[in-house]
Formats: sequence, C-alpha cells, structure tokens
Amino acid sequence: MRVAFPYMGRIHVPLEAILREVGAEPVVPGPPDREVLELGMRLAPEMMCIPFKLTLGNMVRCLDMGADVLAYTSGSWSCRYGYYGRLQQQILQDMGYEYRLLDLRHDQIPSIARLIVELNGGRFSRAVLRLARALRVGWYKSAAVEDAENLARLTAPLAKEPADARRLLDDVVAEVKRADRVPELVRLRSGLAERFRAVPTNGRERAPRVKVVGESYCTIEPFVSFDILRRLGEMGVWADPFLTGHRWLGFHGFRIGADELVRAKRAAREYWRYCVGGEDENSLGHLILAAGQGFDGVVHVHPFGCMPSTVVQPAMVKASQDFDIPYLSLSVDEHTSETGMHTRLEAFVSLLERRRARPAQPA
Amino acid sequence: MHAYDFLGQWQRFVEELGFEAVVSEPTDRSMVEAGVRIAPAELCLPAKVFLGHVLTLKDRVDVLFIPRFVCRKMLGDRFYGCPKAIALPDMTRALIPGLPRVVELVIDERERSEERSYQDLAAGFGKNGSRWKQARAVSRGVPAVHPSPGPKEPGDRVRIGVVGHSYLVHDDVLSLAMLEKLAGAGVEAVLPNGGRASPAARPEFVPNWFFELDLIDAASRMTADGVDGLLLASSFACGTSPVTNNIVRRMVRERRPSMPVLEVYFDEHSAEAGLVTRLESFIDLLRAKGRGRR
Repeated sequence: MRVAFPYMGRIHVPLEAILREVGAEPVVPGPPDREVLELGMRLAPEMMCIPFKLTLGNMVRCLDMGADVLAYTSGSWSCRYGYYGRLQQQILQDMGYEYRLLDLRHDQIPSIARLIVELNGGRFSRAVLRLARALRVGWYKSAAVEDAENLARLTAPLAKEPADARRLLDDVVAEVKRADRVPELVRLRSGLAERFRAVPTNGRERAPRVKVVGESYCTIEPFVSFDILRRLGEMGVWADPFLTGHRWLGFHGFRIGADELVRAKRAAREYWRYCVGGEDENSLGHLILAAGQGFDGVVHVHPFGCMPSTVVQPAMVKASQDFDIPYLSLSVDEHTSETGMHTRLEAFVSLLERRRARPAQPA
Repeated sequence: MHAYDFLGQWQRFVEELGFEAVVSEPTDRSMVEAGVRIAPAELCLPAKVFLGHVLTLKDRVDVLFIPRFVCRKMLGDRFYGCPKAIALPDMTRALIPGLPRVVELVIDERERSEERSYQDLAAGFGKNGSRWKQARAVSRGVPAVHPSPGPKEPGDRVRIGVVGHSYLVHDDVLSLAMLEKLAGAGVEAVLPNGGRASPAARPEFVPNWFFELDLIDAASRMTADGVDGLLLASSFACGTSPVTNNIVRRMVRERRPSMPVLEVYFDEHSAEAGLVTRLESFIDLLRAKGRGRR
C-alpha cells in the first residue's frame, strides 16, 4: 500500500516515519513548486482557495509516483477545508485516476484501525505494538524538527549571516530524517541548542518580535507565503508562528498546547463567539495574547477568498486597535507577487522599529 | 441575508411580542456603496450590502436584530451555515461603532432546538414566560417573500433553472434585476425553494452546508424536470459557490450532458451591459437548440 498525504511544511518528516513503521509505504512528492501550482490552477475551480489548488496539484504528482491511497484530514463543518478529500476525489476520478480515499474523520476511525491491522497480516496485537512504536518515533522526529525550526527562527535575526541559521536547519532536518531510533533522536535534540549557539552573531541583543497568525496551510507551508518566516528572520525580526507542523499534527496537544488553546479561545471570546474554521478564533486569540506578551506586531497570512479569514479580519483590526499592537494582513493566492509581499513586510518592519524607538507613552 | 426566506416570519414574531418592527428599505446603490466602503475587500457582495442595511438602521432603532445561522440537523446529519452567516453579528460589531443593543437569533441545533432559539430570542427582547409560544405559532406560517416575475410575452417558451442564493437572485440591485431581464425575454425562470427546503433524500455528495444542500437538490430536480438550461448565479468571493457549482456541473455531465450551463458571478463592479449580453446569448443558444430538436 503506497500512501500519500497533502504536503505541508515539514510534516512529512514524522508522517513518513509513522507510515513506514505501521507497514505502509509513504509517497512524498517534495515541496510544491510552480509546476504543481499551475497543475492545481488548471484542475481546480477558479474561485477555490490556494491551499486546495496546491494540494490538488501535489496529489496528482503523488498518483503519478504510484500512490494508491490518499489520506486527508477532514470533517464536516463550515469551512471548505473539510471537503478537500472528497472534492479532489471527484476531480481526480474524472481524470481517470484510481485510488482509495482515506478520509480521516472521527466516524472513520474503525475503518482506519482495520486497515492498520490488515497491513500487519491481520494480527491485532502486532498492529497495536507497531502503531505505538510508530507514534513514538513520529513524536520524537516531530519534536526534533520543531525544536530546530524554533531555534533557527530565534538565531536568524541575530546572526551575522542569517543564511547560516538556515543551512544549519536544513542539516538538522536531514539528520532527523535519517535517524530511525528514539535514542538517536533524543541525542540529536539535546545537542541542538549548542549547535545553534555556535552560529556567529551580529552583536545585536534583541530582535523585534512578530507573531505570525493565519490559516494553517499559509502559516506552515513556506511556498505559498514566499517563506515569510524566513524572510522576517533575514530582516532581523524574530517571527514566532502560532502554529507549526508539530502543533498542527496534534503532537503538541498532549502537553502544553491544550492550555494555550483554551487561553487563546478565552481571549478571543469578547470579539468572536463561534469558531468557523481557518484558525479564525485562534488567530484572533493569539493576536490578543501576543499584545500581552510584549510582541511588537502581528502578521496575519491567509488565502485570498478564505471565508473564515475574511470575516475574522474586522475583528482582528478592532482587537489590534483596542490592544495597541500593529497588525498586517496578507492575503495570498496564485497571483501574489513576491516583490509586493516583500515591500509590505519591509514597510511593516520599519514601522515596528520606529515604534520601539519612540519614548514609552505615559500610562 | 436570509431576509427573502424568513423576513415575514421574523417581522411578525417581533410584532406579536408587542414591539414595532423597523425593516430596512429594499437595497439601493447608496447602501451598496456604504457597505463596500467599510467592509473588508474580500467579502462577498451580499455580506457587504448587509452592512449597508445595518448602517441605514442603526440610528433609527433601539434594538438591532441579527440572525446567526450556525447549524441545522437534517437528513440525519449536521448542516452548517457558511462562515459569513455564522459570524455576521461579530463582524458587524467589529466594523460599525455605536451600534444599538444587538439581539441575535442563534439557530444552532447542536445546542438547542429551533423552537428553543425563538424562546431565547424573545428573552433577548426582554419577554420571558410563554409569550413566545403564541408569537411563534402565529409567525411560523408566514411565507417567504420571493417576488418572481413571470414571463411577460408568451412565445417561444424557454425554461431556465436559476441556481443561486435567494439573497442574491431576488435582490434586484445585487443581481442587476436578472430575474426581470429573464422574464422580459420571455423566459420562465425555475427557482430553488430558499433556505427552508428539506429534501427527502440526500444527494450523492453534498458538503454540510444547508444553503448548498438546497441549491444542489434544486439543481438536481430541475435537471430531472427537463429545464432547457441551468444558470448558476453566484457572488464573487462566495466561498461555497465554487464547490456547489462544481458538483452541479458534474451532476449535469452525468445525467444530461447536452444541457447548457452558464455561470455568472456578481460583485460591486458587475455591469449591466455585460450581464445582458451573456443572458441574451445564452437564451439564443437554448432557443436554437430547442428548434434543432423539433
């Protein structure tokens, strides 16, 4: 069984390991590029959101690589994201592709469990053991990538050459991919801080801090935002995303993530009563939390035409005024130009620097 | 935004509770412009115009009523409103300062029945006790306001199924009087039921949005019923339409591949001449096909 899943950020590093551990063969197409985007644009309805187009293009690539199962997280709610798997199946079937759709919904859990047992020769206990091992290895891989990404974002703005931090991150990710045993991963993780500390610094003490919020795919997958997190780092800003691949996969949720989610929801409550998807409530809550945590600004990245992100925008603007924190909203789609993005980010960063330089307002 | 389906009911309900109901005037250009000015650019036109309506009301009333359609239980499943319909009161509060007190009708059948929602609504107006029951009993039967002009000149009768949200197709300013134009051309327009419908069976694949369930069900009945063509009328930046239109096109391709389908998008920049040209050529195409058959 050759399994593919939508490509986003670095979630393939743990997922690849998990699939292999439970006895499936993962198909990983590599990051989206112009070709994938054009394929998605041609096949998808014009007014669909950009994550749909990119994942669709990537799935075609996976099928061409021989995938026979496509796995999507899914659900039935108000945002279009819940229907990606089933809509893409219609489009791909019309193109003549045949595959099995694995729609990861709550009501599908029994059939997913059966599939894993099937992969292990029908032996239940063996399947349970392998799944447990898979999740363990997956968690360690995911946590190692998370740590490295965090350190790279902290290091880049203060580095003499921001590219050094980037190169080190790439090296670490390659090592995480290769490491298959938990002790190796533990050792790798414990040495990370030391390695990033060794990157030569530029002598600045503290970088301005920007919280990056928005729709999950746009926050996690660099292709669609022209790698905004890295860009901000190169501009001397510490960009802290509210959501990372690790958190999105839910690995974070077992630990401190749940608390944080509750705090964000509570903060957003005054402005927003119903979560409608696209991380609307979360983004809003994190904007308010960021204001209290001393962040200098908030950047909101979302797909053009994204329903939840569009309706939440006025509330974000209102909250940013009430809590006195600068807010930049960036709407991205297939026509977004890299230069345009860059210019807006530069203007925003210089605004933040001016605000920091001004004397503190009397309370 | 649900006014064309439920306005009569709500108005009657409020009056039965002993209040005066002030309803905004039919949409005009100045409301469109006022809404467009304050709304986020990427919002769909009907939601922008909703804000325009609120602006004309806010200084004239003591309490502002805004519905919030979250979730309905139908066909053994849960169906949701679109994100914009769910967040309508929150968005309005964030955009328009100095609003009067807002009372919401929250339809969320995950938490409470529709009847209970009306009880809560009455409580929101300060009417506790059982008065809501009578108000609801009297108001629930009030029919939807669907002004649909019939064809003016009998002649080469062409029937077109118009698939679009009632708040778009019935609003003559938003849809540039599309229904009237169709009637003027001697076309019979077949329309969906609006947000009240509850189809008997679930179509093969339908996303869990109740407005789209109505549209997809209607399109499927129209196709079976032998309309000459389908006109898919959507708002630009409507998030659910591309999904619905894709499903409808696919359904037509399977069941009646020869039936023409036209997609039209509306926004604040839509021009009347563009619409007229497209409708005329679509109607000509249908007539030519009809003659070919005979």
